[in-house]
Amino acid sequence: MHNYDKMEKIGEGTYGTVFKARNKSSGEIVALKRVRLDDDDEGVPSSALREICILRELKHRNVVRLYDVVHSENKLTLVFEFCDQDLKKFFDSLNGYMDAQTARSLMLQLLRGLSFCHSHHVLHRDLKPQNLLINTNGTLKLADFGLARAFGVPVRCFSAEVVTLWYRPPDVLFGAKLYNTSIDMWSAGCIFAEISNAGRPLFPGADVDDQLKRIFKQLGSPTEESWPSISQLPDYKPFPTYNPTLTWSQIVPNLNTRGRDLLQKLLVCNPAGRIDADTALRHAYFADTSDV
Amino acid sequence: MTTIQEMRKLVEAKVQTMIRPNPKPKEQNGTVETKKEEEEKFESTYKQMENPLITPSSFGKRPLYSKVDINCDKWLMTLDEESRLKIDNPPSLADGLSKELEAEIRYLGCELIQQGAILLKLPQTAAATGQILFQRYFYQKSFVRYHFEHAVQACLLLASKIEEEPRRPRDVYNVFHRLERLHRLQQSGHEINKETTRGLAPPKIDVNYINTKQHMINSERRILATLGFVVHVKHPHRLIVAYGHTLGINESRPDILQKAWNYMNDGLRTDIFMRYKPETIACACIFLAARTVEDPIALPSTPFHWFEAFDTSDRDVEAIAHQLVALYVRRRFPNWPRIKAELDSLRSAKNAEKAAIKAKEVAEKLEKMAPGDEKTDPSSGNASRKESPVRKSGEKDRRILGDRDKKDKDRRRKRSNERDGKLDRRDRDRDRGDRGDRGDRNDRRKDDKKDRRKRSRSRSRDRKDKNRNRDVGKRYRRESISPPRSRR
Repeated sequence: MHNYDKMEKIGEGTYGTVFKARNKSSGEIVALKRVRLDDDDEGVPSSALREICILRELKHRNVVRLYDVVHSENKLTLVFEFCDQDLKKFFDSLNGYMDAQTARSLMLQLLRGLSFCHSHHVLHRDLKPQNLLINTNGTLKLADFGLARAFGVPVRCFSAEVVTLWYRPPDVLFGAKLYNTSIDMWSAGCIFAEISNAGRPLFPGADVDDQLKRIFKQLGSPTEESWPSISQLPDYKPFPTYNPTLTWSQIVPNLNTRGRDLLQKLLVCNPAGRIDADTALRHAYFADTSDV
Repeated sequence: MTTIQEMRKLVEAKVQTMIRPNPKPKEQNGTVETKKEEEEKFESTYKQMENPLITPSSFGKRPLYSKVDINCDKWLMTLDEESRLKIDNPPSLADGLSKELEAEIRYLGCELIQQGAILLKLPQTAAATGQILFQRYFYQKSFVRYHFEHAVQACLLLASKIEEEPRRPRDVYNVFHRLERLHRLQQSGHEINKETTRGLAPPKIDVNYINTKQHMINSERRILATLGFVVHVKHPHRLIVAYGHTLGINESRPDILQKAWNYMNDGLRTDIFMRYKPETIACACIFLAARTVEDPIALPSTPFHWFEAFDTSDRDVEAIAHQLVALYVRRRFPNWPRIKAELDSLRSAKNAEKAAIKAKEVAEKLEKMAPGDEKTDPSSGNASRKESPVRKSGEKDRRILGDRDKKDKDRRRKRSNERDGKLDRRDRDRDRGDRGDRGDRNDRRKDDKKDRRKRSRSRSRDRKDKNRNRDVGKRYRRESISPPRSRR
């Protein structure tokens, strides 16, 4: 650990404190995530375990790099590549205006990172602006894989307590225990809308019911036709049909038609109908360079 | 990528040599074609067609499901020379463990993990992960140095976390404790039934629990560090079902599938998971099951063996099958107490050896330091002095000493005592560090305290002695011949 000069505290992660530090020999700036291993708890936290196991395998431009793990007497230090800020802080610096070019670039990178993870059979399961890091040069990186997991084919029962409420897909809100890459795609859709609105969350629900209500108000309540076997989900309860009060162009005024199309393909209640990362990357929204 | 292509070429060449003039070649090819189609259908049901580069399993091509890149290959210990050496000569052998006993401990550890996982209501995948972690760990570390009991518990704890069914250390301890008791019962010839297990209650929370838990947690960390956090395991369980589906035996012969599944779970106790890929193991299990099941069936073997379609060679399949069959020759369950006793004796021998080396080092060091002592005390010309630091403090000097000499000697003894004590402690600490038992920090602290107390007591006694000496020195000189220390 004496290889690094600790500079300042950046924040509190899900299971540890994050510091900015400089590598003494190379001068490189890194982020240190310190995991306390107190003697009287459950050993190495499973979130740390997941993050290390998974990130040591993933090397991609749009995924935060884990350089090293330093193991000492009563703590575990993860050495990450350093990023200047997260997407949430980036939103705050925008003053409510996001230009279309940046929005598309960010979304493209998010989907690239996701596509890479999914092709390596890793689900992130906790996508939200706080977990997307941005460099000064505008590179976006997926971070905080504390809830991520590797999945086999076909997917097995996983825990239902994943993903921050606002970014949680309806199937998981209904208690679905079998899910796959589509869980991340819904979150990506929510983030897409949030990016284009310069930081206004799409579905800021207060609790599970409110969350579902907000979703169905916008997308229409799902039925057995649009989503077969929905009633078999553990926590399913029928919702009344709401009349959409806002059109998509009112919700995401800054997006062009193609962008809106992509958003609607990401935000599909039935997980089977949700677009996957690879297909999304080939979407026409990313094809046109002559913007709006 | 090149290696895959090379492999593919190899397999294709092999297939070429295998195809003999066949009476009905077209039909044979036809069956293979349908098999492939079926496979394709099977894969497509899982919506795994995004990557156009990867086509369904075929010779040497990468099969879809192995797209999981979470380090399954790193589990193999046959890829580089170093690990190959290790798998043939596990590190425990260097510490004097016999190969038979080593295998016995491995078997016992895996058995305990399997039973523990059942008692903890963990899924079978977690049991498998735990056993593979255990095996892998003890190809890096020695059973003599690290207690397998701790590792067993740590593996259960770790596997439960990896497979997303976390269990508390307390639960793991309870289960392990129960297993130990049950084992003892069994060993003493009792049958395990409701009658004999009635008295078995979960252990109390006591010092023992706290220590064991500490050991467990430390062991978990050590396992993670040793394995470099490579802990995800790809299990052949699912592959067996997939292959069975392809071979069309899932519906018609569920007994074969069940038997293959059993073989695989039992195979966790051998080293096949360190030697072969899960695909190979799945094939071998089905191969063996199809032959040993009550009503054996012949799986396709022309124009080539069916498992070649899954990238597996007949040599590997046979080798695994032999190892699995050999597993059932075992007559009895390993004798835990005997193993424990054996390990303990090895440990103590090792410790004694280490202590001897240390003592020698210390003696040499003191020997070197002795001349320095002499300089500080120019007044004396005693020949015995040079040996004095090495001499045990309890050793008695029967010579009658002159007054001055006696005082001198007292001082010297005190000094050497102190030094000895300190060195002793340092020695022990170092020993502990070597054993890697960071766990008994508490113990050590306690020990330290005790030590310190003892030392201070002895020091004060020394001081008292000295004082008494000073006070009553004259009296002694006058009346008594025996030196004061004889009172101790």
